[in-house]
Amino acid sequence: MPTPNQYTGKDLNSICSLLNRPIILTGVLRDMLTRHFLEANTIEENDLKHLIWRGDDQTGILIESIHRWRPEVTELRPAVIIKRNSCQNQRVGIGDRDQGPPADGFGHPHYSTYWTGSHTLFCIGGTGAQAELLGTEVQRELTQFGPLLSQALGLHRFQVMQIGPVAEIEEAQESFTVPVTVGYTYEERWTIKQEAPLLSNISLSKILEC
Amino acid sequence: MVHIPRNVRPIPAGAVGSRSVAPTSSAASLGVGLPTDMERNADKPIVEKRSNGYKRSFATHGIKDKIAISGWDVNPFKIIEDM
Repeated sequence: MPTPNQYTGKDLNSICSLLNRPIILTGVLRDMLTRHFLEANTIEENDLKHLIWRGDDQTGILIESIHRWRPEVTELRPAVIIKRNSCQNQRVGIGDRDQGPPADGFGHPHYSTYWTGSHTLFCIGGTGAQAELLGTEVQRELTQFGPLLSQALGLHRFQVMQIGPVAEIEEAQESFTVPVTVGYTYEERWTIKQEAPLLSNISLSKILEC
Repeated sequence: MVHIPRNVRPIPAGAVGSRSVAPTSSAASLGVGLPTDMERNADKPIVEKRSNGYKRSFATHGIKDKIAISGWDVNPFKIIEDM
């Protein structure tokens, strides 16, 4: 149960109290790309400078998570669709307990574990060449600002892992995509606050009688 | 032996206006410039050139892979291994 000073919403502020979660990372990647495509002078590739993002139907480029993606819309304009892939738990201590002093001065045990996963950003264009240019634009943005993103979110790792080959999309007609996959590792930490110290459950009088 | 440069060959007699297809102009078929003890090769039969079915259009036929975004996933163990 969160304490009163913890923020438990679904926006970026919740990282301070709840640390990273997959849906937060999806939102951060989308936010980063919408800001990148907000102005022509931040777009590196000349052939993509006309793809200005707007928050309405008149946008030049669609940047959405897979939850809100409508394939028929990507047939009309270029798009970046963000999808989270599987995450894998990595144990860092026996029973997830912190090594060294496993509990604080109140006897509350501390735990931590690592999660490693990835997001894939599908860069979609009307031609294979446009998908290639868009994929390179997205990859360079994430690679070059990756260290800052990693520092701001407290990630242990953040790296563009792979740029996939150009392929046609099954869900949309006449659309091609280049999948850009970013990998990351983040830490989950928690404390179990016990209602009473452990030693209160042991009757000292019984020990003294022995 | 008469020397014939490779890029300058005589026009064979009767090649203009008397045949439906132009004859080959190779030295071997003309029988000139060959050693005296070498036999003349028979011309290859004229066959119609046919398409092999491959269209050189990058946008429509060069990309044969298809991706289903809804079924896409990346093995996290591969990410762990690569990082």
